[in-house]
Amino acid sequence: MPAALKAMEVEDMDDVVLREVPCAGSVERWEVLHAFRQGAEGVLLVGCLLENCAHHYGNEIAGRRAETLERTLVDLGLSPGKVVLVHLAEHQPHRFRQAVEAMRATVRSTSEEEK
Amino acid sequence: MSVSMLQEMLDAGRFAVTAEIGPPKSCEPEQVRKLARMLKGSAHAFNLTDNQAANVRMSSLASSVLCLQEGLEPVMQMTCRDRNRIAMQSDLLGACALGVHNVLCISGDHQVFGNHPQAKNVYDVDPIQQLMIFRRMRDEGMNWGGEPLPQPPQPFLGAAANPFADPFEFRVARLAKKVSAGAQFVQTQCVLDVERFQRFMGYVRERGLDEEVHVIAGVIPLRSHKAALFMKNKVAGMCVPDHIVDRLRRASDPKEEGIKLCLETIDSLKSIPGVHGVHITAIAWEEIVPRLVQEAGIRP
Amino acid sequence: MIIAERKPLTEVLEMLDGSGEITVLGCRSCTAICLAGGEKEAKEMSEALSLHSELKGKGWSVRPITVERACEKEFILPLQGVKGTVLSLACGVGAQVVQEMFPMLQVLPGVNTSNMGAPEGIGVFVEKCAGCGDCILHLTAGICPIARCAKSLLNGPCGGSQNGKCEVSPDTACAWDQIVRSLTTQGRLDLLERNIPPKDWRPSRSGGPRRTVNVEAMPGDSQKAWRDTE
Repeated sequence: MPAALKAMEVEDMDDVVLREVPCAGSVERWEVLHAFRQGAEGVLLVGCLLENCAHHYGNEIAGRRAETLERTLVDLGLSPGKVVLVHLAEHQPHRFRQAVEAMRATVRSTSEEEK
Repeated sequence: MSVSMLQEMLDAGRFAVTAEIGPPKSCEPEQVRKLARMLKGSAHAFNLTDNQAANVRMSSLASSVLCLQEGLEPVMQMTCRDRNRIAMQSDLLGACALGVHNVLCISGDHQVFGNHPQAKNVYDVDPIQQLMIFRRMRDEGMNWGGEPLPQPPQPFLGAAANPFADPFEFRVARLAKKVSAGAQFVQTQCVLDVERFQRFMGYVRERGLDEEVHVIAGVIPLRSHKAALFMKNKVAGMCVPDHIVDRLRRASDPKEEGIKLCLETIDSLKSIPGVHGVHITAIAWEEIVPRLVQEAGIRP
Repeated sequence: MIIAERKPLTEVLEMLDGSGEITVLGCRSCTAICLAGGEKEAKEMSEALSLHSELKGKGWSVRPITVERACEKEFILPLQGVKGTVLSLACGVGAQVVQEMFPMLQVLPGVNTSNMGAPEGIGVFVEKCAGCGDCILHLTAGICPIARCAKSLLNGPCGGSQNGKCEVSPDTACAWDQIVRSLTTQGRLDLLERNIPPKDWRPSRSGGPRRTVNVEAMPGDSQKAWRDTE
């Protein structure tokens, strides 16, 4: 979270909505789908670094859910790559920015074909 | 009293030879007849498989009758996979009415292996129960439901035994169950591992089963080490020792080596007490059977 | 418990084509335990259907309702007033009870109901009982060959049993191998020598759809009436 907040301080992050969760593994699949319904064009699941999982299985669970969601979203009619799980530490706001930019690129490149 | 030549041979203590004929996948009676004419005289009786490996083929009953017409004695195989007890009894009555008396009761390969894996299987009864039903029809003159049969069928009842499946300790007990259910002869899975088969026969004799049932040992001529590997890896319940694969791989003429190997196997089987015959399975290589029985000195 | 698995989403979407009002029915009993149709799954399905409708202009209005036990009338009262289509994530029993209670609804299956089984590991469920109606577990060391042998053999492993595995698949344990081992451990190998005769399949599905009556549980009047007819 601190990394994301730090990253958000710079300009050009108006299109990002942060939702705070205790652990990436606590995000249910229905919540991610709900985010898309609320207008999200892509969802980044941001978890701790793999070796730093505070809840032992959090990243593993988040990883499984991201995979399932990817398939679900494609079945529903969206292009692949709209749910991405990234791992970063508190002091890595740049990695958060990179992930956001990558997602923006995915969204841009696919928004046409979905129409 | 014997109802077939196979029974007569076995009961008289003669070394019996049976061989396998796979019915065609379409309506080609001539194929069965051709094989029958080629194999005539090479064995006492011929097994007509029942949709082997769960692939649709001409029925074993029809193929058996074609063999009869060509002057061969058939062994009709009947799986529990495709018939309930009603169809089984009906087919037995029909078979005996047409002169087909040797019947081999088997569970059958599971349908997932065949060309209709979507099929629903039957397994109303298992082969042991099938034997119980057929024996009651013959010996008690009634169908399984208890109705009397004015003219009971006269089958010579056979079963399969696989000494190479697991759990090994139970294989002889399972044979004993088949014998007590009515099996008069058993044909075994192809023997390639003679040592394990000898151990199996040791247990068979220990229980005195060799006095109660005719054990016909299966043999198979292998054409190449690939055929051996296929049997080892793809055929359920087979045991193919590595030295056999190696021997075929190294051979300059694998076919000849396979024949030699088969002859050696027959030779060792003949000397095992309790083995009353051999059953030759030469899938897609039926033409080798006459030569095999000739060279093995077991031609009827 | 009853084991079910989710139908492929694309199949569900196709089934729902032409619907308007859709209620996704979750069940907190068996299908929740096998992670196919509990509260979370119902919510997820509901969100997914709404999203699809919004993306593709299907005009669906979707909401989830999860009940304690969809197979009992008393528990499905929350569905009162529901209109249109019900996508059932409850088992096939639940789906039918709902349909019976609310004949005007169109109840569609969102899961494939498979068998009566138990969890073996996380996310793995194995069939245990085939509901044949005439239990023989006392003869087979507590392992059912009807449900767990691919050929439902009653007299020992077939020739396809190898290294404890069934010929059908290396993932499938040979039930008879397990029975032999279990009876060996229990010192009851004599049971293996006994031939089990052909089974009476009437108490199974082969006797037609089954109706089980527990007379003691019936109310007094109907109990008397039942006994009079017996």
